[in-house]
Amino acid sequence: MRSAKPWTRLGTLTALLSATALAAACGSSGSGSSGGAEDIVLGANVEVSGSGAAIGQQWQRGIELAVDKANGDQGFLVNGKRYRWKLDLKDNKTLPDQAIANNRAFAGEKAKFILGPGVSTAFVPAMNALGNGDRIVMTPSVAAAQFIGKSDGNNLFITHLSDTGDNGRVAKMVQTLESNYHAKRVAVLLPQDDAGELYTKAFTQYFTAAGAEVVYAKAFPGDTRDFSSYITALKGVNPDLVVSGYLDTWMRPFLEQSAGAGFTSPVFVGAPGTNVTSLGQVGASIQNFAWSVTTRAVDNATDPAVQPYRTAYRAKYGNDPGADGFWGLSYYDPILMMTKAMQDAGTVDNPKSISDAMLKVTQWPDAVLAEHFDPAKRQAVYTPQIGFYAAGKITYVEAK
Amino acid sequence: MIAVWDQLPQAVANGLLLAALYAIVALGLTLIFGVLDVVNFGHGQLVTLGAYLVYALVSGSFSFWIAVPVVMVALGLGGLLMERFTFRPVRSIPINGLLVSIGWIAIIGNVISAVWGPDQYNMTRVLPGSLSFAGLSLSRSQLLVLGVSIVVMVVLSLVLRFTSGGKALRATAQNREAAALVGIRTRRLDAIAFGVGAALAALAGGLVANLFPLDPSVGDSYMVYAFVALIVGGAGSAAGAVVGSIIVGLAVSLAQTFGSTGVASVAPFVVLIIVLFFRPAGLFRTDHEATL
Repeated sequence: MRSAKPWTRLGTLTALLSATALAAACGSSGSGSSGGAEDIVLGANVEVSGSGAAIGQQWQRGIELAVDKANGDQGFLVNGKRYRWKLDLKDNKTLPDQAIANNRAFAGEKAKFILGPGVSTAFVPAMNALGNGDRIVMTPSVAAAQFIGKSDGNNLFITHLSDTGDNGRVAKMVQTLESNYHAKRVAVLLPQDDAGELYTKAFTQYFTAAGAEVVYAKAFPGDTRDFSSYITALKGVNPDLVVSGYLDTWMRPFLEQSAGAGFTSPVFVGAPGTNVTSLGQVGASIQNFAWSVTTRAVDNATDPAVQPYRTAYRAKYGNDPGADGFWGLSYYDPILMMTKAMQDAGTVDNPKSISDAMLKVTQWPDAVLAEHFDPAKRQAVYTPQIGFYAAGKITYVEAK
Repeated sequence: MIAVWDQLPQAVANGLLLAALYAIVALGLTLIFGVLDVVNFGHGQLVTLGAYLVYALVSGSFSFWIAVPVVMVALGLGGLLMERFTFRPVRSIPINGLLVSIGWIAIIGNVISAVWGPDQYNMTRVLPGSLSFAGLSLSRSQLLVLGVSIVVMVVLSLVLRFTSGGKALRATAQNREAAALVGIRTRRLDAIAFGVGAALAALAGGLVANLFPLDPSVGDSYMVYAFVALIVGGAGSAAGAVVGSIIVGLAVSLAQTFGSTGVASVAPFVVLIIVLFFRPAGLFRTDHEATL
């Protein structure tokens, strides 16, 4: 038996389609509203899967926690009006093509605030795909520096401390390592790519300046998994300290094969991008391992500065952050800083005013990492930490 | 100079261990080439697929020692079907076989990406740790590869020399028409050669999974170096595949240990050019017939 006449069903269908289209339109616009607060789309182009997933998943969590914190229960006030971040997180799979597609989608949605990508190989083409600097972009990618000073980078912010320069991550790391280990013979083995070359040059420069001799400096192809030949050569030069990495993809097999070859006495140092999880199953064999905590160690239960982050993390994800949790701070504080900058600027849709205000933000609610942005380089300035592993124990110190 | 001599034995040992893995891949390639006259460029993807399947089974609580034979059988059967339904129909035009093999690179690669994605996986190692003797340090996992490789070479050699099936394979590789005239069922042997080649790729994949982290490109470099080894030794020659693998493995290891990254990248190809200059058909072939 028929329950409705054709025209009635047609009307119902039309109404449903209209409602669906309306909902889709609201969902895809740059702003909408929910619970009395107007939504502001925050596009996040994140390496949730792929070769950068280990870092990207922590970036995702840092972003989600910052959005929760900024929104609170009621949203946040800008110029007397209440707003909420509406997070639109898209996985770029650590692939440039996907990162480009994500940014084009954000541009299509007229999103004025975009995070990432964080991996340089994905960031550069994705940034080029955006086409102009009429939106605020924040990224930890070191490759973002090439856009600063150009029209594309008008409202670009780099959320990590610079790698290079006398106050950069590598210089601080080397000073801290040398004051701890006093290495005289240093070996550097990093991948044959832009970041690898940058780190090789910087580590060589600063270890040499610190009085150590760089007895081995080689690059390996990015698809290397068998490091035995390099390890044989390293054993031949008998270094006190070996720098490798800069991703777990290489650090883990390198450490595993070093342990397998009985090459365990030097201090192993992971270039920025690694952490203690690179030790994998060989933690008992490797005597000393140190790594750059690019931001601040949020797995450190004794550090009061990270306690609010740990509490929020545990409440949302059901467990404490691990040793790689520090990546979350690449975005966590910058998002809160941007929220504060919007309040200071009194606008949610003028990127230039918000950018100018962002450069003046030095304090904000729920801060974890004490940082500010260098007005010339548009780059975060803060004191990173170095992680030390010895005899199964992990300690963190502020980089010098 | 003293350091060079100190490192040489270890560098040679590393090269031989590397060669053991190349040899398993190259033997599969040469078996297929010898009988079907087609270089299966999808062989590297079979290695990758084998590695992922072994990883999947071991992650699902299977023993590594059971997972590897199971995956070998599965990919061996897959190889039979690949030959029957994709290579056999185009056998009369060899270039089409080449194109089909390239097509398999895309097909298997996309299947791997669809199922496992681009993430990296680490399998818990069987036989962790290392052995030290005579100043050499060798990981147990790499020694396993060497042992398996030797067993494969011996078994394959015995089968090819002393069994009727092996003799039929060699006859088909040497002269397909003559083999058919004396009653050898060459089509069946095509499928068997492809199946055994695919099973060897699966074996290599399983061993790779026990050595290195897995990602969708894990089999690519083995394919490239095994292919160079195949040409150096003489395509279609089982002995040539083994000797070619040893030469390539040593070239890679010595260049990585004592040379720059650039030297290491080109060393196997320099060896290839030198060998082909003096022996255009490869070291173990004197004419254009395969010599399984």
